[in-house]
Parts: sequence; structure tokens; C-alpha cells
Amino acid sequence: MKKLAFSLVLLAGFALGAAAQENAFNRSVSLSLGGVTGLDARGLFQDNSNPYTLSGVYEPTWSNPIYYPVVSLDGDWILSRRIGISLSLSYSSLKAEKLDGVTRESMGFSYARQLCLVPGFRVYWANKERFKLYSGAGIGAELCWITEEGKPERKFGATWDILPLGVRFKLLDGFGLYVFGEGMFGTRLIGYRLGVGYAF
Amino acid sequence: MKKLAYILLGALLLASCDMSFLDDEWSGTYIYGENAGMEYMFCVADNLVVDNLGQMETALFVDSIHSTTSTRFETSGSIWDTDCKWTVSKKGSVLPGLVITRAAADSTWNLKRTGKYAFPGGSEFDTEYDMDVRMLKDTTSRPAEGHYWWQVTIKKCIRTEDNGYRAELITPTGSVLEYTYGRSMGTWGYCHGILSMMVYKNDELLDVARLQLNGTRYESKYLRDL
Repeated sequence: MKKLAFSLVLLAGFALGAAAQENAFNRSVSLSLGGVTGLDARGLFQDNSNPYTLSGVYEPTWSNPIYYPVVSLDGDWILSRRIGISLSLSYSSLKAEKLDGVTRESMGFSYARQLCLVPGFRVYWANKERFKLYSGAGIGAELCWITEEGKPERKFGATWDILPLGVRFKLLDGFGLYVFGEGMFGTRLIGYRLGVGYAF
Repeated sequence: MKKLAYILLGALLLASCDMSFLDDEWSGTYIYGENAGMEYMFCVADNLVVDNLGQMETALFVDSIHSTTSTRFETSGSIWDTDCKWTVSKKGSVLPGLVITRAAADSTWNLKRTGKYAFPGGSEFDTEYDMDVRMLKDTTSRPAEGHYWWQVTIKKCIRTEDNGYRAELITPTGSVLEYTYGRSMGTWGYCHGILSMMVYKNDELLDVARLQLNGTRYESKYLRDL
């Protein structure tokens, strides 16, 4: 069984290698992690206690929201030397402890989760087989669901992001594995994300 | 190298001790739990009432210099006349629309206003009030010029806020707020008296609180959830 699995892995490797020799690596899939979720900028689950307003005294508040990094699965297709298109699916979330405004006793955790599907385009400033430098932008849709005291509330909306600069390094000649880093800002991610991908 | 490491370690230990002492020695007042709403009531006693007394003293000052060109007030007769009516002009920077009328012969005026009033932090909401203010004698050996001690009866003070909240404050029957000491117009060193507050959300009673002012803030007592 082990031999069979090893043989299959080898076969897959040879197949990918053979495929790589026949194409220009202009299509790719990648997985990335990083950045601060765009949910951060929406002011969800903030400490809204304020002794000078009745809402600030009596309404629930939140303590120390925790933001998780954005996880993205991307597909890119380089159409010409300078232009490409992309499709990105990303997920991010945050959680915070909800507190009673008066007693400050815990009322459980509140969660916000965001799933985005964003088509976009890329402009390649440098487009070598092993090195690419690019910018881009995207506009798409998001599904955001907020759960408080176990009750989820879903909202659909538009989302966008701008990618001022991204850089991609392919690790080996003739083999599609690459790493990349991108600086981004928009409604789903703010900051930098790093990832690994495979071009074919 | 070792010495440097020991010095650094020592400094770190010292800093951590210092931090823990700081934590232990904190002696402030929590703004929640049994104190929830206390700062809010202090705002009424220390800000709203004081601003009104400031306008009252300004009116007395304007009247005393026989100014007929005040842009702050629309005036009708002397502030001491029984049928006087002084209104803070819309151009006035503090409490525009405040109406001052003479309420009784014993140096008592009535102050009424409906309009926005800002608490600290810029929280500005509709506030309607009706209070009587009675001038008292400054019993110190050197009374301040143009500055008085006051006895305040809040007959009505309704603050309507967002999210369906409303606060109603009064000085309970038989009690007043007394503002004493202070050397300049609009400032007082002490306030004594009782203020009570009812908090409503969507017209349902949510909380009842009482603040007993005993001079300084630290000597005052507060009870809520009555």
C-alpha cells in the first residue's frame, strides 16, 4: 500500500513536471494568509461604555475583540504580458466577549464572519517566469454574518479591494511552485498577505 | 557581560514590581456595577445646573451695570422686577433659549429651557428642564463680588436620548441642591443636597437612582436599582 502511494506521488510529480514543460505557467491557484480583516474597520463589538450617555451606561458592551487573519484561495490567469484576471475567495472572522453594560458580567461571545468572492484584474509591471511584479483591483460580493447570543444575522453586500503592489517568486525552473506577498486594502483585507501557489 | 545581564534582570524585576504596585494601589471609582449612572447624575449637578447658575449670575451682572446693549439676553425690565423675562439670545454661546423669570420676592428665579444640551464627550441630546434658583447669602468673611450662593430646586429635568432611553431627574420633595463657596462667577466649591433619577427605556422604568451630594465628589453617596 505504501509503495502504491509513493508511486502515485511520484507519478503525479512527473506529470506536473511534464505539464510544466509544455505550458507558460500563466494560470495559477494559491492559498494565502494575512492582513487584518476588513471587519475591523466596521466598528463591530467595540467597547461602547460611556458614563455620560444612558446607552453607554445600560447597553451591553464588548471587551477585547480578537481579529483572525484573512484566509484566501485565489485563481489567476495571465492573459497577456501585461494583463491578467483573478478570482479570490476569502474568509475572515472576529470574536469578542459581550458584557452586560451595568454589571460587566459575561453574556457570551459575539462573532462576525465574512466570506467574499472577488473577481479582479492584474497589471504586470514585470512578468518573468520566476519573478512577477504586479498591481490590481477587484470588486465583488460578500456574505457577512454576525452572531450574538447564538442568533445569526446574515447580510449580503458589495466588497472591493485594491492591490497597490504584489510580488511573486517561482522557486524552481520548470516547476510551478511559487511564493508571493501582496499589500492590499479594501473592505475585506487591510495590510499584507503572504501565500504559496502553484502555476501551470 | 554578566553584570549587564544582572542589571537588566534587576531592572525588569523592579519594573514588574512597580507595575503590580500600581495595580494594587488604584483607588478610583468604577463607573459600572453599583456606580453605574453616578457620573451621569454628577453631570446634571456639576454641569447642567452650574451652567444655568452661571447664566443667572451673568444676568445679574448685566443688570447691575445697567447694560441695555447685551447681545446675550433679550430683556424685559430689570432682572429684579416681578414680571421680568430674560431670554438667552440664540446668538448666546451657552444655553440659548433659556428663559429666566422672577419666581418669588425672596430672590428666587425660575429657569426653563427646552433644547439640546451636551454632556462631556459631546453627547448632545434634547433636554427639558424647569428649576427654581434662590439666591443665598455668602456667609464667608470676604464674600465674592457679583457671585452668590444658590439653592436649586429641580422641578423637572427630562433628557431624551437615543435607543429609546430617557432620564427624568428631580430634587425630591423637601430637598434642594445648595451651591456654596467659590470665588468667581459661575463656579462653586461645594454642592449639598439630594438628586433623584428615573431611567426609562421605551417608556418602561429601568432604574431608579439617588445621589446624595455632600460637598466634594468623594464625600457623596450614590444608590441605584432602588
